[in-house]
Amino acid sequence: MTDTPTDTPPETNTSGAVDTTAPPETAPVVPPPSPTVQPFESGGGPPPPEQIKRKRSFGGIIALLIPVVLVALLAAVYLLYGDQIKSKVGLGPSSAPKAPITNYAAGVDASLQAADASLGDANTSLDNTSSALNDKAGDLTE
Amino acid sequence: MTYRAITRRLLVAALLSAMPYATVNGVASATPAAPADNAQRLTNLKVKGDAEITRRIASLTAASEKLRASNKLTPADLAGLTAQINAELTGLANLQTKLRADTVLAAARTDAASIVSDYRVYALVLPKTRLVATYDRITAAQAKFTQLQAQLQIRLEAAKTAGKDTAPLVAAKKAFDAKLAASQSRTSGLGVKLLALQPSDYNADRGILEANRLVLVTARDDLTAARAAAKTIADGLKALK
Repeated sequence: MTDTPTDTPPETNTSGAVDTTAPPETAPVVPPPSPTVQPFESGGGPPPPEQIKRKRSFGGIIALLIPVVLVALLAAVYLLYGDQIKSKVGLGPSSAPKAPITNYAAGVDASLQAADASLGDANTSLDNTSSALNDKAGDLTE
Repeated sequence: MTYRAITRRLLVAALLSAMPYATVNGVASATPAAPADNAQRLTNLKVKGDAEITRRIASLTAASEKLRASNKLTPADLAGLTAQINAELTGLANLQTKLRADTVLAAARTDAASIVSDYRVYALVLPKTRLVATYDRITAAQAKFTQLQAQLQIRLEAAKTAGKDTAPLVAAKKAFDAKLAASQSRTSGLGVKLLALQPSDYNADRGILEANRLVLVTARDDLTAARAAAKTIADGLKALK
């Protein structure tokens, strides 16, 4: 196993003095982190604020969609199987026997009342006509 | 000859001898009046005639306003009556102008007489307006009864289809139908006939409006009888179970 030095000692001249003229070794230039967005799962630490905002808006949409989808599903089920469900729980028309028509005069009363009102109107007018014919405004010449 | 008989003959002779005097006096009173009297008569006639025309114009104007406010008349009858009243108003206004300008007693007498005979405001026009309004109301009632008739027919058929005994109700329905038809028949064309009545018609027949009013009364009575039959049917339908 060879021992490989990790650090190179500063070059020394033969006299053992440190050559200060030589440029010191500089650390390799590390490029700054890329501005591209990294998924927060891939790295440690809190995600940037933009990512937090996007995450929240996505969650809001999901939260809105869930009840809408549920209501749509319920509506579809009701439309497809509503009658069957109601009949099973005893609320549907199919479960109850049809009530026989017992009021054969339905609507007749309203028509009769309208006719009565109209006839009363004619009666009043006829009475006025009678008095108008008998009363010639006190003018006997006519 | 008794004393009593002589007295009686003397009285008769006195009365007979007095007759010529009475005749002369009667004729003398009918002689033409003096010009001063004629001028006074003319003035009196013009004042009285003017007042009568003004009274009629006021009555016609009030009737016209009532007509405008009424919602019971058909548009055709409303237009017809309004036109006739307006014609009377125009005629009377012209007559008033003419009477005021009259200078001859005979002409003023003719104009004053025409206030009554040519216009017949109180005897014909105003009562006729009421008769036409009554006619419209009765025809409106007939329309309501026709709707009731259809309703009753539907209900009777439904009851019959359901196996109910509707024979007594069907008989009442026939009575209803007959009375409604009679009422409609009586008033058929009556509105046009009433509207066409003119003062000359009244001058020829003073009872012409009363005859037409009696037609309306009978038509109303028919509807009343139809109403009673309808009530019988309605009660019978309610009793069906």
